[in-house]
This record gives sequence, structure tokens and C-alpha cells, in this order.
Amino acid sequence: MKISVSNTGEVNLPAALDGDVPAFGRVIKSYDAQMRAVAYRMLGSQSAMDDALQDAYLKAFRSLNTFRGDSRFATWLYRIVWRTCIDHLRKQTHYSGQPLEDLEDPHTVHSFEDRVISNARVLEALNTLTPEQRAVLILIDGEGFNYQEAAEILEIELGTASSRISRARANLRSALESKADTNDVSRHL
Amino acid sequence: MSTTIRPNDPDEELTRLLTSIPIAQHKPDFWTSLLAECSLHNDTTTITPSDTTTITPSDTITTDPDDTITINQNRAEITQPMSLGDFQVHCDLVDTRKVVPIERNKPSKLVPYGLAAASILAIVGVASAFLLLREPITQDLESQRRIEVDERQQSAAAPATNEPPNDALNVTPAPAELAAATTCYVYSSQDGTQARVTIEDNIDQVLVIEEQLLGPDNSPNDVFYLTGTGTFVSSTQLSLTVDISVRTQSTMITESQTWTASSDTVTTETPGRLYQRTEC
Repeated sequence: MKISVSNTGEVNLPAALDGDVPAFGRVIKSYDAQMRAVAYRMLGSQSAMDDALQDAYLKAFRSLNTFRGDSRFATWLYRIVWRTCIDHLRKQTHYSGQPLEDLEDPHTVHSFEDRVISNARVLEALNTLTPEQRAVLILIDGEGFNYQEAAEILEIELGTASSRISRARANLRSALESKADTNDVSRHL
Repeated sequence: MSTTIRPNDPDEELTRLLTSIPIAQHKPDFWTSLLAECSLHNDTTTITPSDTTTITPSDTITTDPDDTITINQNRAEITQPMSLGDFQVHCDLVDTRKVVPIERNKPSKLVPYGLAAASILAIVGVASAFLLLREPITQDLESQRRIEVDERQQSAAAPATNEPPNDALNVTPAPAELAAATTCYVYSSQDGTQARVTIEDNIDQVLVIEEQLLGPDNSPNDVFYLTGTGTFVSSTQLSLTVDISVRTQSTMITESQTWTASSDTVTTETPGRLYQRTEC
């Protein structure tokens, strides 16, 4: 599993739980890269990612008193981010076909044009999955959670996570293969 | 049939593809905006039993659309219909210039934090609404005094009626919420030079709205009426309107035709200084 609870987060968590806003900011920043990875892959654009994470972090701050420590803070935060991403997706007219405008955003870290194109195809393929499939795929294959942890974050049964990841993988492969004529993504498979 | 679950078996190829996607950075103002939002939210108070909070006129009210705000006796009660059960917060309207005790009442079931936060904000808003009464009353007193002077000059020849101070009042039911919450009084002094407008609850806790010195034209027989109406214009806004009228011995001076008063509430609570109290 890739979750790494940084010292910054651990040190500042008690103060954050007491409503200390700067401490909360330090805690959230220590997890932000992981949350951005999920939100960006779920939503496919920087603006949507920013909007969702802004909402999610604010929800987290408002709900700090409900964090009992029964789960890891990262798991708890992932769950909020996931729910918020779903909310944002539901607000959109369509679940799929989201703009990929941010691939050219100056804040986006990319190096070679072909890689950008390849990444765009992966995002497009991801967007053909249902949000639920996309989420379990991102958490397990993208973020390295095991099935149990992913199931906990997504609040689904372990068996559901297992079957859902299988369908998600198959669907993603299918989507990528369907684009093989126009790009070289399939060569990665 | 059994399902074989391998807890840690990410698809390596897909993992490589997914992790190769560059992740966008936040926009430059992301953290500033977020922390500002958090700080704004942090101005509210989480309610726990026996908590107190200070209400100031600049406080604002924020409630969810499904919240209901009712005022019972001297307490504001906010109820939000929730599947978890009703939740009520009582706010004693003691004196908004001081610390107002807040207590959680009937926490029948687990109460989410957000609900509590919404409730305290609602309380603050309700109390603030009362504070907002201050200025309109002041303005009305001033305007009514001017009207009174004019009217008395015009009706100087009219005979005095010598009727009991409140016999002629038309009683209009006040909005239930406001009427149940508080009682509005106007005290006028023996020499007719001072009136004090107050909102009181049923246990004589007084919120002084305004003290207004009146001119020498006022007679001890002048009767002041305070009419108040409260309307919840939305689930998040409580609009209160108060008008003050003055009735001299010979004429009634008022800008409002809506009266909420009762003749049997006139009392002599503090003989010697306050000779009459009129309820609205």
C-alpha cells in the first residue's frame, strides 16, 4: 500500500482535530498528492479536481469531530474525497466524456508529446468506465490499496470490490484496445 | 461457489499506465481559498451541553433549507428533520449584549456535527434578528415623536377622552413564533419624558431595545404602542418589523394599522418610575 502518513500530518493532526486551521492545512497538504491523484483521475481535469478537493477538504474540516480514529486518517480522507468526486460527477450532465483540457495546463507535469497523447488516451479510456469502476481501479491499481482497504474507502463489500475491479480492468483494457488504431497505448499492454 | 480474493494483486500493467498519468497541480490560490473557508467556518461553535456563546449583531445565520426555527417562550428552538432523529437547540434570549447560554435539548439520537453547527448559526441569526430591532425602533420613535407633535397641534381643541389607556386597541394575532417568544413593552416614565422599549421573556429577562428620551410635549397620559411582526421569509432568514405608535389623550398617532396588543397586559410593575407598560 502506498499510503504514507508523513510526520507533518501525524504531528499536526491533534491540533487540527481541535480546529486549528493552519494545522489542518499542514495535515491536508501532507496527503494532498495522494488525493490529487485520485481526484484528477476520477474527474479528468484540473479545474474539476480543484473544485472537488476544495469541497472535500472543507467537508473534512467540518467533520473533523466525527473522526474517531477507528480508521486511518488517510482512509477517512480518501472516503470523503471519493464521495465528493462522485457528487461532482453526478452534477454533470454526463458521467463520461469529460474535457481533458488540463493536459496542456502549465501546472501539469509532462515531458514528451507522445506521452501526453498516451496519457490522454488512458484518461479517455478511464472515462468510459462507470465512476464506481473507475474509483476501484484507481485505488487498487493506481494507488496500491488492497481490496479490503479499497472496499473500506468506497464503503462496499469486499466481494463487491473484487468483482468490480475485475470488470473495471476488463473494460479499461477493452477501451484502450479500441483506440489502438489511433495511438500506441495498446503496446503498453 | 467461492470467490478467491487475492488482497494485494494490482494489475502491474494497469498500474504502470495509471501512475504514468501526470497529476495536475492546484491552482495558485487553492490553499489560500481553502484555509480562508476553513477559518470562516471555524468562527462557529460546536454545541455541547452547557456551552455558552456570545452573540453579536454582526453574526449571521446559516441553516439548511429543511431546518425549522421556532421560538418558544424565551427560547429559540431549531429543529432539523433528520433520519437520525430530531435535534433541538435552545437559546435563552436573556440579553444579547451578554453571554447567552446555549444548551442542547433532547438529543434523542446521535447528532451530526454539521447539524449542530447549522443550529448554532441559526440561533445566532435569531438573536441577531432581535438586535436588528434596535435601529428601526429608534427611527420610528423619532418619526413618531415628530408626528405626535404635529397631530397634537392640530387637535389641540379636541376634548380629552379620559378613556383607559388600552381600551381601544385592536388585537391582531401575532405570528405564532414571535408572539410565543417574547413580549415587547414600552415603558414611559411618570413625567412623560422617557420611554424605554424592551423585549422581555416570560421570566422577566429583559432585552433593552432602545431608550428614547421624549420631549416635553409628551404627557404622562400618552400611551406608547409597540407592534411587532415576525416572519420567516425563508428557512434562513427571520424578518422582523416593529412599528411604534403613540396615542395621546385625544388622538392616536400611528403609521401602522396592524396592532398586536392586549389591554390586560398593562401593569404597574415599578410604581414611581414606570407607570405603564404596554404589551405588543
